[in-house]
Amino acid sequence: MQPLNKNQWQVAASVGGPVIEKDSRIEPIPLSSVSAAYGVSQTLTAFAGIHPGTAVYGVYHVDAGFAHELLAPFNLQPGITYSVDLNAFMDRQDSQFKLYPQLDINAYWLMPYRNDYFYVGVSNWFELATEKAHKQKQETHWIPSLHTGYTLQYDSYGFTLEMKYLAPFTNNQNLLVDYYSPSQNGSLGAYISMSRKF
Amino acid sequence: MTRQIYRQSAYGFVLLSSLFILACSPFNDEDYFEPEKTNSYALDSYQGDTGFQLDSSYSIDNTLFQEIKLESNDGKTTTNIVGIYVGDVNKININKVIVYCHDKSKNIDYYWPRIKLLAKTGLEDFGIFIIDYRGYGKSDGKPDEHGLYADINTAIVWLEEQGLTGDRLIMYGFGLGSAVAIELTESPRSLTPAKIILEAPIASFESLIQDTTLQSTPPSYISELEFNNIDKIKNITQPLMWLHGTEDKVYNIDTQGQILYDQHPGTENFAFRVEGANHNTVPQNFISGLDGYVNNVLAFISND
Repeated sequence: MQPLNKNQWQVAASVGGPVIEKDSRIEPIPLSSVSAAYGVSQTLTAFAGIHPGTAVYGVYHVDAGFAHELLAPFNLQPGITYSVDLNAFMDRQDSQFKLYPQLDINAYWLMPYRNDYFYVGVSNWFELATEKAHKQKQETHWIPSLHTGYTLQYDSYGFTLEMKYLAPFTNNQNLLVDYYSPSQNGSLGAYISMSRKF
Repeated sequence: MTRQIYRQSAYGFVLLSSLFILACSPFNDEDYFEPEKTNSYALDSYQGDTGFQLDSSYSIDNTLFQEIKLESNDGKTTTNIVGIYVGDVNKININKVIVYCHDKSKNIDYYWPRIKLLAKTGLEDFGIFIIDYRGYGKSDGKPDEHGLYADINTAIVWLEEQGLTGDRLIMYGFGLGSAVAIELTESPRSLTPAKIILEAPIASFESLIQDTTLQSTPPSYISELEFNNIDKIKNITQPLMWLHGTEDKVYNIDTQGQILYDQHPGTENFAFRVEGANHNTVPQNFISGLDGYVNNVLAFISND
């Protein structure tokens, strides 16, 4: 969200995922990630991550990308960043490989007299395939989601709580998974993460 | 002081993360099945939602159905399963029999109105056998793909022992049951069915996953289930009757049913895209309503 300083490193761990209803309980799918980021310049941060949570299900997921600050925050004016991320998946069972690009656009506000920040953003997930099972046409190529979060920053440590509204324009009724959502569209997502800068 | 805050925050994160992960349980193949266990079947007294209700004219006399208990062996274990045969058991050697493979939810109670409806085809000449797969209703065990096939094959073997022959066996698959009906028609373990009826079938588990994720997600990312109906139906030449609601939100008529139907190579195909019907209401939304449904099924199974 917030770019790193030039030559600064950050490592982070995160858990969370889409919230589903299962056996009359409401729970997030327990996905997780471990990532590292590096400040290439004051406005450009490169990052890469692995996702141990999906590996438990037999799917290897890694991602890499960069975040660029378009506008620095000043008083009530938010900082504006965008990030480009490539997500690569491969499963243990059939070695099926998939690549999903992701484009996020975020606005963040620094809290007065603190290093904490609040942010909102939109994440865009892209399906590149033109064909799906049984030679049917892949109709959906853009899956957006909205997110908001707050990062508590204690010196070099950061703690983030983030909520997402995944695929808010897509009907979620009668699917294989009962997604939890305030409407009949999409799914809520809940995530917590911890980071440390060096 | 600052160090203490760091430490407490780190502990807090580890604790929250651990609680978060412990509170969650992964989606596994069993979650796809939605069985409801019972100690005894309520049938007409079943209080749950069955999708539609029938009036008393559809009642079946108690003497015309009976519970059948069988032992199903999937090659690894033996499981006690229970079904209900509707019709005269002593006439299985001359009657046509519909083996009804139900959908993924609940148990026989839920499907009982559908059985009563099919019984309208005339129990003098037909019998209907519905079986609760392992883990459903009064059947022991837990459901799994190959167990379902074994359970329905066990029922067919029992029918064969009562005198049924393949030329009088009709497979009826509703929803998930389409996978069982197709599997045992394409690769019969005992009798080779003469005809197959598919109501709101699935094309494959892969296509179900992709309907859910919106992406062309490889099925192996999610599950080991296959239910690969679309490849199997290419080898089925028996007459096919396909019924599917145009408003089916569970198994989409175009991405599931239609592409499956299109792959059937047989020459006797009967397709019914039922306007306005959802997953559970194909019979009453049929042209001419319930009577239309019964008459068309009767015509299909009677025509030799």
